[in-house]
Amino acid sequence: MDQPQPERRAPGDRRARARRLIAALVVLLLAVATASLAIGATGTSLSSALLGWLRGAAPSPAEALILWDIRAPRTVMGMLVGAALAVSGAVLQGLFRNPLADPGLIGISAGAALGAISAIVLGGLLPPALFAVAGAWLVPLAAFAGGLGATVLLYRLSTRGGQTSIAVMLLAGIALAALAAALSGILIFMANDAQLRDLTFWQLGSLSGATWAKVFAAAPLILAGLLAAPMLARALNALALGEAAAAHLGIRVQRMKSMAVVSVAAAVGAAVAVSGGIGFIGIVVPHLLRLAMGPDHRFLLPAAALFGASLLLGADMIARVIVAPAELPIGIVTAILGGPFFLWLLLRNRTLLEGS
Amino acid sequence: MIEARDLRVTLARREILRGADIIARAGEVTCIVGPNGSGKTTLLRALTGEIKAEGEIRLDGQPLDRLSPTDLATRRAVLPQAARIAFPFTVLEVVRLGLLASPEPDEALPAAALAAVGLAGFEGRFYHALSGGEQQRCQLARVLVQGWEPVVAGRPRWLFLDEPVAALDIGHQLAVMRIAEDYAARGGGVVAVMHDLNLTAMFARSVALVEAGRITAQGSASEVLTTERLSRAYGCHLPVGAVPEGGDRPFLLPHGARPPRAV
Repeated sequence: MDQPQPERRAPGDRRARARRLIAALVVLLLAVATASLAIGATGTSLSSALLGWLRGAAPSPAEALILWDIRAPRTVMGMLVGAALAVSGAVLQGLFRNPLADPGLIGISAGAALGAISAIVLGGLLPPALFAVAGAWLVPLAAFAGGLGATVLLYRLSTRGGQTSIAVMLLAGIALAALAAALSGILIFMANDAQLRDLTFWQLGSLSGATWAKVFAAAPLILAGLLAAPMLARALNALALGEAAAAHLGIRVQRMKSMAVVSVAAAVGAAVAVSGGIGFIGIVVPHLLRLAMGPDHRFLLPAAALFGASLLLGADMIARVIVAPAELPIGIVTAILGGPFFLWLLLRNRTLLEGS
Repeated sequence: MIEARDLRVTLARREILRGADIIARAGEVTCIVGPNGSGKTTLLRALTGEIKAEGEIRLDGQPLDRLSPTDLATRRAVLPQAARIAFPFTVLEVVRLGLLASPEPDEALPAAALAAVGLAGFEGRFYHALSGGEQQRCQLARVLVQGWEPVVAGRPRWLFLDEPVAALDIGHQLAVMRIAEDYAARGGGVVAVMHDLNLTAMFARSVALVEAGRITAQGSASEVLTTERLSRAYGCHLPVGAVPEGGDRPFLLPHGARPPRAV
């Protein structure tokens, strides 16, 4: 077996190891977040400014601007988006009882994108009063609605009599993603020049446009999704046995499934609304963590939030530095790292697909 | 006591149960037998509340559909037929899932349950790497953890077992049936779907014979497991004898059985 062997002292009980790993992931996230504040196109003098600032020395106005108005919101946004994608991946995988479920792969992100594009292009058609009220929330909320629609549709399509067919799920996800992309294409065709500029920036899939306003628009939905996840942990553990067995253990399966779908749609919708399409975080992070600490969702979900946030910040730093002073869209970085990983996962789990 | 009256279940437009009546008493092992497709598993799923059935089911006097999932989980545990688990859980982690149903989980139970099913020392093995029989016993340990005490606050608890010995060798078949027998002897209730009629005769105080969605006979093994009934139900000649010096306990050796008649 290529899973690590459980510890010798308490055979089969990986809870202590999971707790240690979570503590290590907290440290990792703090380190990566500090680095994310310190590293960027304007050179390394900021690291000393940041260190001085942490010690209490006042930074210069230019340093303060770069730290507080550019890098800080970008760092917070990266953490929120990374945590949202990784936790959503873990919840979806638990819900579908399959390690191949990922918001990007099965069309949820495409549904959220359709929602966001609709809001950007058609938002002007809303009554001006309503548009003013919705304001910065309009795009995240529309993305949430799009993601929710796609998730519910996908679940309905791929589940018959409580059994989810993985083949149907993956194929239906491809079809839904294509459909959502086509509808998005029609909307882009209809867009005017100003809207096209907004769309292009957004579609690049980047954290570069992060502002505090965007952070505050996305944070409530993402946090709602993240905070709901731990409440699902016990139920997701029971669900690994199958829906009937989970119900026999006293889990209210239907209620739990609805809650999982809504929280995933909220977190993914808001993440897609502010960062465009960033793939593979949702599949890579939970899988690596399951190898390291086992599939217990009470530990897996918080660890996924921490590790997803760290990984996305890391990818963002690569995107910022590798072609400096220009920067790559972060979606390219995660795809280049995640694509081969996903292939490896598929080959390793052949039986999972062929057995269903 | 479980009392079910006139149970009717239709799945995919096919009437699986058509007015089944069954009674199971705490302190006894009740076995449900019958040919493939007669509705045994559907009957068990109806009795556990997993699927909705028309008719009436009472669990120790209370209508089953009035009990919440949480409440039910503290009063009965269910062993499924065959079970794949979605992620690489260890044996101990699977058995610990049985603690989910308990408001005050007792951390000592998983080890005791694993010892009871003969899987002590398997804690750190991965469930998906076990043999079919070992997986079945691991699931039984999880079910035992959920319903560990046969009687709680004067009220019996119930084990529902769907073909609990299907994948087991003869030694483990006897061991598992003894666990069921012991659970009933200590005041709990056990309802098991069985294919092995000799094990049924050996361990069941009450046998219910299912044919085409109805219970056509329920009573002691010697009342129900007769040549006439079994030959009719299974569609082949099944001469039933008696265990030598085993009282009137029926015994079935299909040496004289003719092949099933053409349908």
